[in-house]
Amino acid sequence: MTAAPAPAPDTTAAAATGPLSGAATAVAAQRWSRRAGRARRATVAVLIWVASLTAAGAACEAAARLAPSGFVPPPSMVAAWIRATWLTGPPHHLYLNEDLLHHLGASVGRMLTGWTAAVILGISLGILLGRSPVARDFVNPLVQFGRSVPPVVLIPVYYLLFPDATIRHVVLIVTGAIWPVLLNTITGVRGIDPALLDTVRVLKVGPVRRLGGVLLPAAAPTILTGLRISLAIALLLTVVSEMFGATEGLGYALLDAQQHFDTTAMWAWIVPIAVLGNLGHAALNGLSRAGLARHGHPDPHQLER
Amino acid sequence: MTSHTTAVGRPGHLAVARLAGRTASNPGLRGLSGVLIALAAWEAASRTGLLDARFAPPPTLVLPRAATLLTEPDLLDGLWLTVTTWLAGLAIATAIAISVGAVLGATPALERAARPLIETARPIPAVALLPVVTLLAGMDAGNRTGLVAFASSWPILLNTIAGVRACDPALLDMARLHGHRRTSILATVRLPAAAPLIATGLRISTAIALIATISLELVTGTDEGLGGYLALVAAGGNDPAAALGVTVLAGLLGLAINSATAAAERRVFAWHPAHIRAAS
Repeated sequence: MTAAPAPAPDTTAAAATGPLSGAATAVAAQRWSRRAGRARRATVAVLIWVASLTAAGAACEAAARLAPSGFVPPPSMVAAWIRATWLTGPPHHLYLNEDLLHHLGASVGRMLTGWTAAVILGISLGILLGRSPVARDFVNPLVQFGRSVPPVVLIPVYYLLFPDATIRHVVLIVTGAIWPVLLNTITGVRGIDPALLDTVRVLKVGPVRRLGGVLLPAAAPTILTGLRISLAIALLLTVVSEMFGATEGLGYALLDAQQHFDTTAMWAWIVPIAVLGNLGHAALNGLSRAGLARHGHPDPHQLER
Repeated sequence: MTSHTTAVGRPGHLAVARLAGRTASNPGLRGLSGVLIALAAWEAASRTGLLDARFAPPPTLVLPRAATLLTEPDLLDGLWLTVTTWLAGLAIATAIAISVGAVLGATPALERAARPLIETARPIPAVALLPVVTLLAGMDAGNRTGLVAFASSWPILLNTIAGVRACDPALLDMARLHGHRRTSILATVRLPAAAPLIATGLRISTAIALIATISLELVTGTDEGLGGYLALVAAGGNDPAAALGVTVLAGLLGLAINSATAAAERRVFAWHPAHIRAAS
């Protein structure tokens, strides 16, 4: 789906400079060969991705053609619909047409607004609660209750409270997406080595540097996991929220296609939702890998915690 | 942690400071006062018009309404259907995810081939598939169960793969020396070693499954389950206390389930280093 990183073009370069290693230092040669190995592994990984997804697509195609159903069109038909309907825009719109860009833009805007607000609120509150056991004692039952409420349950209440659709969507996203950020920030801040905090206190580090230079970096791996989970929740809530009383957005378009029994369009509208989910996941995974590598943490194998 | 209390816990506000002092070394009392303060704030906001009382009535109306809801047969039927759908979906997810995860975790080649499919399918929100399933098969409790299983299987699957794969090589060598075959090593060494990680996945999936169940009931618009009951009450529009009451009940149900699974995990895997570290 989302194409994996392009294979690094180092393989040939390494082969070309390889023989020079006699003249160059041994260290450089070693670095080249390591880079060549990494490039080879990346190429293999990309090939596996392509092969695996192609095989799955072919299997779906065969199944849909062998057992035709009015509700499950073959993937090629959905692709043809997408090309004929969506890929008709001007080049400066990346060839995407007005309709797709309109709904996609509405959804992405709400999702990112709500998620950003949830991240800012969650990290600030999380640092406060992570640092203060007293505050934590006071709000612990509230936090436990709040994160247990299925956010979708609030849709009917919010529907009445917030007449403006965009505000309603964003508030719902914040209410649902804040919990993983908040809880993971608390866990991350609480897990900071007490010796580090004592050092900071002894050295009388200012509050700004303490926050930006010590607390946040030390808790970053845990916080990043929270960000990834909350972005997935934000997307889900965007789509659900747009199924109620909305006039634009991916969720609205998806439900609209279903209500008009336009099966091909319905399957097609799932594609941008899936792409968004994958993009967000990949972006935050990359960020968290880069961050973890910099701080010398091992690859966490994408565990769910 | 207690050493930090004095250094960090210096609330500026006098009343809060007095409360904090009086409730020192009693987290339960502090938590209770936190809840009471929040309820009082909600009550005040609703009474003064900061929150529109027509749509968000004060807790003194909502909480009694939530209690009377528990005696209404319609709500109890809905609750029962929600709980059964949730448990059935979770059971299906667990069975599939642990078996698939065990095979993938023990067979690196297979895992590499399947990884792109898992990574692509996992970020797709289950609600995006909802219209498709509705059109395909109609929306009843059975189909909801299937979607709940889809939504909640990922944490168990990923944690099973990781746990089974990361098995201690010394243990595997030992089992091989004793003449165990692949399948028997999987059942007697790899899976038991992965159990704590699988349990963590199961705890997360349990919460996801409940959220998915209620969401799907609400979104499909059939008046089934707790979500369906809520949709019905909300559509009536003349009983806002009941709509918020259902929300409170759903939250309490989730809280009970989350606390139970967390406690069970701590109890069963008390010997595990992660829990020993967390406790100390």
